[in-house]
Amino acid sequence: MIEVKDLSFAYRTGEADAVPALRDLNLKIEPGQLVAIIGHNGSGKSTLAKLLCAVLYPTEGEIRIDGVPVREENQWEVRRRVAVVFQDPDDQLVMNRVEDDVAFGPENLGLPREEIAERVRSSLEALGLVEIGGRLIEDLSPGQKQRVAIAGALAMRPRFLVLDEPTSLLPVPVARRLISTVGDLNRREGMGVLHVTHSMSEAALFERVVVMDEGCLVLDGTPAEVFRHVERLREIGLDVPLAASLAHRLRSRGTPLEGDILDGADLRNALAAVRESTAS
Amino acid sequence: MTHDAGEPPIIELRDFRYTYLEGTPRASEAIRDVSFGIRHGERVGIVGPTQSGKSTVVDAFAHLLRLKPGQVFYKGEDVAAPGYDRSALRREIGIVFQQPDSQLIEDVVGADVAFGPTAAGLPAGETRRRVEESLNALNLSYPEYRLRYVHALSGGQRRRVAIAGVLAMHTPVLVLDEPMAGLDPRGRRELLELLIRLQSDRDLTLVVCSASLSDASLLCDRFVVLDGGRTVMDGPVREVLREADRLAELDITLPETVNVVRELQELFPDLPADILAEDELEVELLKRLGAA
Amino acid sequence: MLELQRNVIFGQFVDTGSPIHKMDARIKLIATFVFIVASFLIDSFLGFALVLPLLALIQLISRVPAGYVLRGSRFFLGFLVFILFFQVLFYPGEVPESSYLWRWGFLSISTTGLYTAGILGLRVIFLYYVTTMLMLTTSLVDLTNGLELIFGPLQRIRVPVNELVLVFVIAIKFVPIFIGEVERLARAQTARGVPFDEGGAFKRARRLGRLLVPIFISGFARADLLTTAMNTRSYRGGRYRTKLRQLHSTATDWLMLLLVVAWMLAAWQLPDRLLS
Repeated sequence: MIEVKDLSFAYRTGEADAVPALRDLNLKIEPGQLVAIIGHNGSGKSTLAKLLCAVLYPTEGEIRIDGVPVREENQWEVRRRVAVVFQDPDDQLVMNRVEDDVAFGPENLGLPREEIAERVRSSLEALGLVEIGGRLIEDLSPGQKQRVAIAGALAMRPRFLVLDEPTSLLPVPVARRLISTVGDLNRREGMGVLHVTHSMSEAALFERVVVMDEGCLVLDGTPAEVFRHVERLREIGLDVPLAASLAHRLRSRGTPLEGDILDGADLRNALAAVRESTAS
Repeated sequence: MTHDAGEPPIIELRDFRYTYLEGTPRASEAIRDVSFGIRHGERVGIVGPTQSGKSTVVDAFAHLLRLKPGQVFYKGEDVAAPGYDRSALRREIGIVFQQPDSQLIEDVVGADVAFGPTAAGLPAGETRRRVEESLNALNLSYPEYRLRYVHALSGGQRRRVAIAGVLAMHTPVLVLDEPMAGLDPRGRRELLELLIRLQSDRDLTLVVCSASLSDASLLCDRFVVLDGGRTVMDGPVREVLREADRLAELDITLPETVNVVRELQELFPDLPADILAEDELEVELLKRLGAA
Repeated sequence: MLELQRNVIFGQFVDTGSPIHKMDARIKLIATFVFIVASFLIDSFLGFALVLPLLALIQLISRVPAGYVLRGSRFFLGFLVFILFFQVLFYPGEVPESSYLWRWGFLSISTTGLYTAGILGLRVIFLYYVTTMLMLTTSLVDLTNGLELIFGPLQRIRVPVNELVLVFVIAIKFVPIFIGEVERLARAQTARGVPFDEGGAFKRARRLGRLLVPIFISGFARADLLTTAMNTRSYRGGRYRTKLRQLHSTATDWLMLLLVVAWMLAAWQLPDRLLS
């Protein structure tokens, strides 16, 4: 479990230009939860991600990962539990061959050779990379490279996987496939996932959505609960998925749409129900 | 804006093929067969998945590659012909690259925007006027930003400085490579509004390269779709969007409206596939609900 | 210039799956070391001529096209010629009066100077060639493991071998990335009217100099991100590390090494014996 208590964080503390990036944040994430953290650039969402994997440390308050406080002296304990994938795979892949890079993390844990081989094999399999395991990373597409980065994180067998905007440079269909693979991993391995993004349609695919603005947590709930606040989300500079926004408009024009509408299929079903009831 | 269909294209690619590091063990074929022309005043989106060859096409326009003769033409002239004046070509085609940092030359905003006009030999007064005009056009107020340090700006601001530097050249052709990549929805909206205004204020030939038809559809009226280094579709935006099934097979970002319409067509088969705006879709839906 | 990766291939790995690629990295490293020592010992044109067939053989077996390597060395060779030119002009050693071909103040061209510069040039080319070939045929993991095993014993005297090796390997990994970055910048700046594809070598070199600041800024940023990423992947110095890949040396590998040693001994000793 991840427990965030009264967390505040400022860059360049103690200097005149200290910038508070997070303010009095409280958050609890159960093991195995599939969570999207959403906000615009500068909302503090990436700072939170970096605190969760001990790249940064709290200025005030605390974070506990399965009871282990995120502090410098515990950094390796924390990193065993939380793996992270960043925006640009070119900046985090260390070795030049796919398998070699996926093995880098488990090798650092000092695992026996057979165990490393097993983890590399199963991680490549989970990300659909078995066929390109021997290829050079420089020859892969951006989407494939991002998969290699996730395989590398997965091979650490973490309790939580933090994805810090890994999809922001990918076309939507590629990003969708990546998210759905991550969803499978979550279901199969019971690993918690925290996905940082500014895409609302991506967030709609998660169990829980946490919305951040100006370093504070402003909304928290299921996608359906969060997307009901169409105006609030627009105010803080976020987009609402088109289907949700359309439903909001149609409802305000008197169309009695039932249920939660997050995507095109939901809207279609709700509209079909309306049409049937008016026809009868 | 109407243009005579018989007018020759300003930029033209004929049976364009290109391989990076050709003849080495690291050769990679980027363009297999691409042909199209862009007429003066057109607004063309060159769209396709990552690595479909979009950026190579952009580089070809300004002859930034090892081009072979007979493939790339500007105003009817072969840019790879011996003796062709490349510097003159580059003063006509302004390119804003995907990573703005790569094209910033000077450390200070004002100096960087002035770089192009100065290098082209414009008098100081005219250069200053252009710097002011370009920065203001991008909502970077001249007095406030003129002396700011480029590397201290945010990513979105650096991108706007890069655009200003190109605008200051008053090039007839403006090419934007993935102008929205990495911006959040707010930054995206702001830049989009700026670009739409620029486009209507100036008589520009605009080329937008993107893996997102969503952004490009708001800026362009024609799409050239590339996949695997080949042209797979070429036509007016709405015509291309009507082929949603074919587009959905490519790894590109479709406008959200197109995706939602595709779902809703099961219910309303006559819903037009080329709807681009939410308002438009709302009206169409209300019409159909009223009829039911 | 706009395709710089053609002209600079230092640090690049090209996987052709040849027998040289499959050789034990330790053996390759030792062989490279033998070559390096030899390059300092050999001091005659005949000696270097004797080395040449072995290098040609290695090139052939590696299946890395010779043209690629030659073209990829253009920048390096150009720079070397530039340096050697000054070496000849300012030759400081004792020169018998008869060997002067031209003289002006402290500048001179002498046969002795030319000879020394020639040998020095060959030495440097030889060094450059063997290290480039090592990197062209050895993946980063093999290079890391090989170096760590060879220098492992130094750990007993508290040399942080693992860390040093990783720094070295990552430096090598960054060279092609830098080259790609320079190319990208050169392209973008050419588009803005700094013509990197025109003018003489000197002008181009000066323009390249302007790119140093942005390259360093992005280089530092990248290095910083990579360090963070490695830490999040539990990299805490090599001490705790285990290895997936193991190096295996075969009889052929050892035979190859033996061949290299014998050949280098011959190239070192034979010229003297033949001439005396």
